[in-house]
Amino acid sequence: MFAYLDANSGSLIASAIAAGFAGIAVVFKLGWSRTVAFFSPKHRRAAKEAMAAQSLATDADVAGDAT
Amino acid sequence: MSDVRPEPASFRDPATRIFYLDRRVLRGLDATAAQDWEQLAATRFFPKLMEEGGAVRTTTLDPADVPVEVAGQYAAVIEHERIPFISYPYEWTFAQLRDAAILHLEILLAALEEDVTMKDGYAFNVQWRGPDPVFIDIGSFERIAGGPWIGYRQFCQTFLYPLLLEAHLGVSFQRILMGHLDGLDPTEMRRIFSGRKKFKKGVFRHVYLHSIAESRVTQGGQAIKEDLKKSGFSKELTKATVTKLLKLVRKLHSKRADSGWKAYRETCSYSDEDRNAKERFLREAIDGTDVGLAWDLGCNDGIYSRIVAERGGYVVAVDSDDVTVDVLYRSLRQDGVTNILPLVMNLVDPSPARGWRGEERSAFTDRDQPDLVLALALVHHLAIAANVPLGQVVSWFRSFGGRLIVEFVEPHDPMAQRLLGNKPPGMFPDYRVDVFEKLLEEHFTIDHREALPSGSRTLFTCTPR
Repeated sequence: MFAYLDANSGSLIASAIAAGFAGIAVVFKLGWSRTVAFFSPKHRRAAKEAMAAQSLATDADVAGDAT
Repeated sequence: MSDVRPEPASFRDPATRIFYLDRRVLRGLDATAAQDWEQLAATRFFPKLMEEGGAVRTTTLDPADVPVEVAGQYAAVIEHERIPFISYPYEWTFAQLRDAAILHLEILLAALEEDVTMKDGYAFNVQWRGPDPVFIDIGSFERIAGGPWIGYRQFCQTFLYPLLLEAHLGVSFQRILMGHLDGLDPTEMRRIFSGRKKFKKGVFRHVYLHSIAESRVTQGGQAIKEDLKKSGFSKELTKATVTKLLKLVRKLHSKRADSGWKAYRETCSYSDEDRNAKERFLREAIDGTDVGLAWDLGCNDGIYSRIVAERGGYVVAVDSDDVTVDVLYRSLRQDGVTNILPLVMNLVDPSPARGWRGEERSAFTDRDQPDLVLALALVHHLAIAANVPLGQVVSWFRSFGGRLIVEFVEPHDPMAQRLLGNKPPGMFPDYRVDVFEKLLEEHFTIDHREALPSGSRTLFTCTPR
């Protein structure tokens, strides 16, 4: 079915969590690696670095366009 | 052939389009949306909701009745009842936004029972018939496809977060929402609710965890939706999300109920004799006339709005103090008054045109033309407190096009004195009733003029020239 709003992945997880324990259980069932990524500091750092690298790349693109 | 005008705000969902034909409100549907509408009309909850007034009354046009201007463009065309005056969430009070949120969630819960869900959770999907909220976006409904409610984020941003700001921090949301038509995002809210504030009711779950999820889950949303569905995210879980949200929203209250304006009627300086004379003057001015659409600018507790509303028509009652308007809203609902719409707005800075190309949300003064404008105890606020030149105040009144009932408060009146006390002496040499009357005469014909018994206030009824 067509949905015109962006399916923001974080918000979908958040709405599952908002359903209470049963919803949280479903989030856990999504897979161990994702759950770890959500809670572990090490994975959080990795995700942050990945995001920073991505934004640097975008900045470089913009700078490249400007010159 | 009549003029078909597309609604500028109706473009985000390509499946349906609103357009106007004279004063009629029509919606064109594509094939999928037409099917969704057919299914919606066949449910048990929706016709009941329309009957009770919770959803905009809608009928399907017989193909033979589809206006020639749009014939063949849509799979189906439906017609909506006309909402008397369009308003936006940044003009509503706390209680209005909360009641609109409750209506939205109750409709979703009823829909889920019959395997229908909503594509969004946008506060702009609600309008008002007087002080009663009405859900207008029929295009929101679709057959349930599993997975969580996709409108959850939008609901948080445009309903829940503004309510949390007021309920927990006493920060009024109207001007914030006017600047953010999509609402504040979870990360901004997390910064506002930092430290121990994150443990306030509803914040940890809907703001803090939401923001964490947003920053850590980087996989595409559609994939996550599919995965959640496969992992067993059922309709029952969506119902649990909505039920919990509903419970939370119902518990939110604005503590900032006390305000200087709220006590205005008790503390206001002019005598009861003045008040009686003002009410009589107003009654006489509208007696035997067809009120139509009236704007009560600077409505305060709405006493004059009520007098006008008793004669029929529809009154849009506007004041800048959100607590005063909130009190008015609750009292109207309690008294069962159905033809007054209370709105919060700073009249020195009324709602501008907003959104894409400045056309999505229209400026307050462009939405309709009032037949009658009340400006009672307003001019001194504009002219003295906000330094608006008197000539501009009068030409602004004239620009609305309707009849005007206006009060001039002279400089020696205690309320005017209070405002003048903040200004350097001699700043307003032209703020005098004779100057005001001359300015009125440039734009209007003065039908009646009456000085109130206190001797410091004068009322005028005027017809535009």
